[in-house]
Amino acid sequence: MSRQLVSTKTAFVLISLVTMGLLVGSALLNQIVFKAASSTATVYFDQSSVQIRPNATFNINVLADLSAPVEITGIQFELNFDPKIVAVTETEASAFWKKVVSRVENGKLLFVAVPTEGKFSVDKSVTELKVANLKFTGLAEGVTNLAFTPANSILAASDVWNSKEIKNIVESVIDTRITVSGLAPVAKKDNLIADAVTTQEDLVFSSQRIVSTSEILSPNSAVILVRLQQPARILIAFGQTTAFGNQADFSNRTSQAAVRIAGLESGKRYYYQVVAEDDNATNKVLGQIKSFELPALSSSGVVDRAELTVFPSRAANETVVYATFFDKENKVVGGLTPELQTNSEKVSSTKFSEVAGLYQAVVNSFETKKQSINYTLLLNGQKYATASSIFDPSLNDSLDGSKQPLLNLQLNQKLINLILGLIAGLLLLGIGFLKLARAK
Amino acid sequence: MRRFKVIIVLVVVAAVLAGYFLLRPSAIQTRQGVIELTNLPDQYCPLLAETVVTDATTKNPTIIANRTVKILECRYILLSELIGKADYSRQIAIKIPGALAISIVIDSTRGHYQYAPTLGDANNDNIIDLSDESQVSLALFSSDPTLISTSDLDYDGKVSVLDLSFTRINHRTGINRPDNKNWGNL
Repeated sequence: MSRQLVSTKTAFVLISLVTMGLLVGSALLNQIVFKAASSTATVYFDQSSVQIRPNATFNINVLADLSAPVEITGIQFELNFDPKIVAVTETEASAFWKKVVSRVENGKLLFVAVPTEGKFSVDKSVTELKVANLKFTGLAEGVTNLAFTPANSILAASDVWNSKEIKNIVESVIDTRITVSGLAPVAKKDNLIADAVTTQEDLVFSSQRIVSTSEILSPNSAVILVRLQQPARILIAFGQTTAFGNQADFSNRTSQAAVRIAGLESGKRYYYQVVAEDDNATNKVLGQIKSFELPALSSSGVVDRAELTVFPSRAANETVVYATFFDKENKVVGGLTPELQTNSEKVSSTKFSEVAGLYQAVVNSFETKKQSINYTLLLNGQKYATASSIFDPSLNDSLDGSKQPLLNLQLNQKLINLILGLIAGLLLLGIGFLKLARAK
Repeated sequence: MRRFKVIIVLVVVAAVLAGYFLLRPSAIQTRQGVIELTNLPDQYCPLLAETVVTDATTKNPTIIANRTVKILECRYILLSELIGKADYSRQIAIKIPGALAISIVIDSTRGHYQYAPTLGDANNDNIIDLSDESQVSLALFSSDPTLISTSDLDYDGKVSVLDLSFTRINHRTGINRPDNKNWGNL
């Protein structure tokens, strides 16, 4: 009984080990921010186009697709239509929802509904969540769109893990087209539901989403980077107010595009909206209205930092690298001769060309296998920024948007240093224990 | 030999500790001497907060200060404005526009304190109830500046279902003023 269960030496080593484990764990937790996936929503109709006869009535449902679990606290939309062609007869919130506002004024339907229980919990990603049912009557022959106003289309939701914060999760809205014509087929079911004429393309387009939008800014221009779920024609409506007034097109049908908008005024704020439309421009997906303020051109010419963007970050064999240099006042520095360095010999890049402070180079891959490339932006031999991209020859451009990496981990320099430090620490610890064991 | 082993273990512990302290800049950089308002909509920007400071060390707290203070950068209340340089325990009751009043105990003027205000008090009576809900409901889609100013809880410039949501999910009452008077309307 007098024999010690654990020797003093072992106890000391164990305590040291536990202490170190706690310290390292704490340091790691301090560096890593755990974030669950935020939910985004697309609001659309259950019919992508409708044909009815004058005086006929039809029902149409407003649906929402949600990308992740979320607690919905309300929905609001502003729907525009031509009041000479159709009229709203009735509006209803779906089951478990309560209508708060339903008002028609000047060709606009303003609608707000809230869950009867305060919150409506969705514990997984869902499609075709019915939020409202609208009844319209055809008045006169003609064509009109039922068009959501993106700025007033809101699905209010709180993340499950942070119920105090409520935000709009609508990422895109999809309109529908109503054709009132004497030649339209006679509606079935007591004229309540119209015959929806849905082509194969309509069906495909109904699952269209704007995956992401971002912008690269220079004093007189902006490059809008757009990724879609499926290939489509991409348009950018832009202007100094949310009324836009200008439009830039990307003529090719694609799922990812870099649309350049030139001739802008430095220091001014611009608003833009991404529009994805099918070949006939009958189906459209409208993105949220976003804005940016153009930076001014630096007079000092002294570079403080740089930004490097590769788009598309996953490409078959060609991508474009964009670089911008900034001074300490965040003004853009022009007239430089930066260089691009890559970690592979199986890629070639053009020299940077400059347009008013925005540097651009094209990178091509000759590798037949998938490869990951790291890019380093150099100026006068000094390293300013890094970025990476993947070349995957098997990527078919038309399907590119639908492929997502399983794990989208981005290791920055700090995290790499931390991992290296940990490995070194563990190595030292191992040597210490080895020596202890040998001595024993 | 035993001394050698102890030195090895100590060196390893020292290396890990050094690594830990080098890798925690975020903790060092946090702003000190402030109460930070957290978990708020990005645009939400209250300018003033109504505060009542009481002594937290006595059984019957007496009111030491009763001030309306500025909120810096839409998020920070300076502790020095509330309790001066006195470095002992104080209880601070705070009411900001559109949110319920709360109470925080401050131990040090050099500390960093956080609180997540509960938004939804549209009529600023310190209770979130059906009266706030109906006030915001009536102002939905309104372009009347007076209605917007009283019902735009998230400060995004319009009254929407987002504002209505705050009044519906947060039904409760804020803490009373220590002197049992009504909170003023900021």
